[in-house]
Amino acid sequence: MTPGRPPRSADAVVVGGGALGTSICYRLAAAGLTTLLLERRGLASGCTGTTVALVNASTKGPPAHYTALNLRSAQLYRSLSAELEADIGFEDVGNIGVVAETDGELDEARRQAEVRSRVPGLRVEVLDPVQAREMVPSLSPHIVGATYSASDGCVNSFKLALAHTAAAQRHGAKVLTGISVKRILLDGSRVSGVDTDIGPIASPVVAVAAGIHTPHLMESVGVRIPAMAKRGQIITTEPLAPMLPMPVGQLRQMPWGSVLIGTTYEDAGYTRDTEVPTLARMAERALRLFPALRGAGAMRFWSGLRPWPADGLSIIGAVPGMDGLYVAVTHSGITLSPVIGIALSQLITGSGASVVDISPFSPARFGSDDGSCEEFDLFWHRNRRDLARV
Amino acid sequence: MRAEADVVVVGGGAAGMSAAATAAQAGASVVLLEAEPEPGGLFGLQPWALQDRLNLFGGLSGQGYTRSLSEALLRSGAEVHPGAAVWDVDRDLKVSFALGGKAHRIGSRRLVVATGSTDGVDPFPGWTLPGVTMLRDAMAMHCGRQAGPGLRPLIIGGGDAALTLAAEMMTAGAEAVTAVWGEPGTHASPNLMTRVRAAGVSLLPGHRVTEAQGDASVTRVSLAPPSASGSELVYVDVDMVILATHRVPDFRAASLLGVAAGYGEEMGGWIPKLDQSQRSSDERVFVAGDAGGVGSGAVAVYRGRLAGLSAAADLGFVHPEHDRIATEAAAGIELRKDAGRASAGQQMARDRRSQWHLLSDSVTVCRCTGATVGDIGAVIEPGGRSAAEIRRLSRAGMGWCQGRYCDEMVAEITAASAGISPHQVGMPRVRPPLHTIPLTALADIPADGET
Repeated sequence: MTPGRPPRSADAVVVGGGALGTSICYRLAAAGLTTLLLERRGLASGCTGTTVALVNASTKGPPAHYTALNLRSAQLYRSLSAELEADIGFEDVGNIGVVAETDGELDEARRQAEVRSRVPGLRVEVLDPVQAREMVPSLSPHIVGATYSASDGCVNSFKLALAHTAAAQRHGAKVLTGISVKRILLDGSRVSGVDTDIGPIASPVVAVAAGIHTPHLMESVGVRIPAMAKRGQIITTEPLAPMLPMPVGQLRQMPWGSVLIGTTYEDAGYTRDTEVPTLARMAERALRLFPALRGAGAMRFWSGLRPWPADGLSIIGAVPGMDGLYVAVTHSGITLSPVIGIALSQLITGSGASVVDISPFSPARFGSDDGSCEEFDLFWHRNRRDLARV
Repeated sequence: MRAEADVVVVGGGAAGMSAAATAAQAGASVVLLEAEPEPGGLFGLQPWALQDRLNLFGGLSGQGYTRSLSEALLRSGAEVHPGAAVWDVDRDLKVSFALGGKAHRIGSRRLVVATGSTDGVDPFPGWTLPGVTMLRDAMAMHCGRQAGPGLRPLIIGGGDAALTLAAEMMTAGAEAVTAVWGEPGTHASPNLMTRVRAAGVSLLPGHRVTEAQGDASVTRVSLAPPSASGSELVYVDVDMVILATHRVPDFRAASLLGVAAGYGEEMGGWIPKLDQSQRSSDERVFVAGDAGGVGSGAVAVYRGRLAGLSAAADLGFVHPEHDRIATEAAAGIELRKDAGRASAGQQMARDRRSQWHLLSDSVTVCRCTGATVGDIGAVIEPGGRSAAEIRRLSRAGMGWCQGRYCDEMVAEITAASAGISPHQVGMPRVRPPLHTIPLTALADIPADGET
């Protein structure tokens, strides 16, 4: 929170205090814009605060440009802590993305690894059980193989968002939490600011990074951003002796010993419940992969709602026909936040050598007759009334 | 064990047993799940005779009345499962619990949450030393005759239960019992004080514990006298320190369902919003007894009866003596409103809470993760922080007990440091499981629809 009287105008307003919003805010502020970040609840209170927080490219795509986007961002992590002058809990440890328990699963994993390894700079290795258990001795001998990439790692998503925020504030950005944006304000086809529950704030640039709330906000100016929600349930164990030197198959051990057991990809509307029978299946798999978990206690169940664009790929860029309005909404926002922050701020300020080509991710790709939007329309129609509750 | 019941009651203290018996007498199928091996709760750990103005207890002790409630439960046909620790309630009111090392689930149509209160902590350097114990645990030891001859306990707290325990321990042969509490004049009734003095308890009203010392366990306590009587510290040799300043309502099983809550400091902090029949904002869920706001044993019984009556009536089971029970309960609760003594201990804590952030940075707040006053201070910002942020940054409340003991300290320290009120910090989100459960037990749960 930035103390003092809230500003009435800014060069740029960023809506959303998650991994994406705080990263965008920092890059805009660092580029010299007087930037204001508005967050309806607390920083990292949405999906950012409810994730296993893996940083990975080896499990992303095809298409290749999406794999490449993730890889570029993962690479940025290596210097991020130094740049932000803060501990973000980044662990440059690699990641065993897929653990195969059957030959069929291994064939599929191998096929995906080959496709992804065609992206320059990314190497996804296929490990046999002996190699996998050399890296992670606690893995069960019954596995038939695994995929590994040294490009991957993991981070503390909460610290990440707070570090971006603090760095943004050092560059003069103002950060207001507990402030809801009610609608985006237009002057003809130009953005003129946002209306909030503390009144209007004028700005020629509005970047919306409001996660699962993005479609609702964009609706206020008649724009359809087809982002649904996919729930991920997670189990946290009690602190255990070190057993996971790197994330393995969506399991991750935190520095304090707790193992996070992820995760699901469910259409649960906008509900953040956890469901015991589903958690039971996750526990079953974790115990199968890691016999050392026998005797461990489950200490906490939680879930997060990932923003899930209708075609599964990030939506990043300028909103067509609305000068000054930008959007960034995606799942894998932890992995992608560094690159999206840089790329979007470069697009907004029109300066700097482009870090990566984000044109394939433009919201312009969703035509009104695009079939993939029907799924969103149905989702939105069915669940929108529940959105205010999450 | 049944797969579902009309009414599931969580917690078998005075309120839960009363609710279960009343609902079962009305004709509902009732299952009562009690985490401890014996029902009774805090109420059942009182071996001394209880008094109340409507003579509800008829001169019985909490233990004695618990026995009569057990008999009534048996006659009522309610199914009682001691040792059943509830760890989740889902939106369909399916209750998950651990019993005998296994995980079980039971469906319900109405839920009564009667999980009582937890002992609050008024922290001081050394409060986590072995030998420093909660009032509830000390009462359990006393009931089990494990506390008595030769002991030198120091009891911190001026409530009825704390001072009665002080007198009882002295009578049972303790070598020396010291009782300490905050503001003079906020302590128990004159009758009880006479008894405490007659038993030979050393009284140190207005004193404040500044530190508990000891190596393997606590051996000495230093106390600051009331400001009027000088600044020399007083030292007391002890082998046990009992934390009995205040109690905090525990309605986590209802919070899982998102019931509305408000901040009521005189009732122990965050409490659920309830109507006359103890119904929460979720019409299927009732909260009875201390879980809905700290009160006396008699009030817990009355609230339990009201919840049991309404839960059963919702489902078409009307108790033959519905009106009489409801009228008596309402009158009983009304009578206690002016009593005030139940909150004597709360008073002491209220005066102290605003000072917690001034404690030494090294004082432990969260026993599970080891987070200290300094760890919390380090993450507080000028505008304050939400409970969720403090948890994530300091890790206080992220351990086995799920913040049961430290949430209150975290909120108060945050509030005082940031110059806001504790309720502005917010109530931390309650997540399942309410108790740590073995992964193996969780994995044994079949998919819905399978057995």
